[in-house]
Amino acid sequence: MIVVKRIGMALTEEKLATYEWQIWEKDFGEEGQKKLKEASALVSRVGGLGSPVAYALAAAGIGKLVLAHGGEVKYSDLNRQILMTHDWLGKPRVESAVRRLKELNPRIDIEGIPENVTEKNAFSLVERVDIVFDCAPLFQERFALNRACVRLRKPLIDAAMYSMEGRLTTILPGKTPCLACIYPEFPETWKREFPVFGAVSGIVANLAVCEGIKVLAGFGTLLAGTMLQYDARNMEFRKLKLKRNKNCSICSDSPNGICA
Amino acid sequence: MRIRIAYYGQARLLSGKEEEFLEVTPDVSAADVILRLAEKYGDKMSWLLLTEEGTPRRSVILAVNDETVDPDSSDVLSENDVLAVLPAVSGG
Repeated sequence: MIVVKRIGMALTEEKLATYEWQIWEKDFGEEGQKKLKEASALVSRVGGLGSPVAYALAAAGIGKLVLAHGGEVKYSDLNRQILMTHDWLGKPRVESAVRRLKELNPRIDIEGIPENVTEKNAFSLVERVDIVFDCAPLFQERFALNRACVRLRKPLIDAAMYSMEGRLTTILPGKTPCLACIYPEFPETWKREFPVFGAVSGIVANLAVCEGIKVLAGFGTLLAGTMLQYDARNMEFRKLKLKRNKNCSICSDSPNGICA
Repeated sequence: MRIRIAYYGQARLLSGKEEEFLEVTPDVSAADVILRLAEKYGDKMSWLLLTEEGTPRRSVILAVNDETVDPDSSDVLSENDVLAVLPAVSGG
């Protein structure tokens, strides 16, 4: 039985029934659900982190998902990439992701892009959505997304993990530090392969989606200008206050800021 | 005076510690401490924390009492400060 108070006719009976339990969240409500339905999100890679991000966004009823991820499903993906399955080994990852998400929620639009984010495609991918979830394992992709988001003034939820730790911040271009403020030089020490449990990726992924829902529906307190660092080894959370770099090569108003 | 170092990411792996206390003189900056840690833990830590020129990498986040600091800052640390060392991570 649907007990929510109706506001307009944007949500069908079926959608109201599907999302009823989250609509009970008083700061979100039916208005929040409508905003989510009208919103679109890019998820950069649907791997260990991006899979649960896309899953939670789809379950919550975001209007449109754009998923960017190249390559085929491998055995070594399966401990954490929850949208990949054994029966899809050797086939394109993004197809597996789209298939699984449509099973979960057939009401939303999903576009699968069989390539990773690059400097060449970042702008056109970011241009078509309202919010971006950065879940890529390489800083080249993260910096490409950051540049495009700053230029297009799109919110960027930057999530990352390593070992039993995770990091998360919400970048609001023009208001908060951007990724290039946080890492003013390219992190040469980061290596492509890293220790990872799916559960650790899943924690930061779901925190990231909480941030995204708050940005889109307009409630709560964001990790804007704040980096959340969590440590699943001892279950400790730490919040670090970030600073904008007045000479940032991407977002500053100075002549250095190419996107300002 | 005594300060506390909190290690994250690869810095935790290479130090073998989540945190430790360090005795320092009252005139040290965060960058001075990074140079000392690089020396204390050897080549791999030095590579992680320092550039080829021997200066702190700007891709390593440094935070004093949960506020990020510029490694170029000459601000000195105080007794009981907590210096968090967070090398860049991008796991997905």
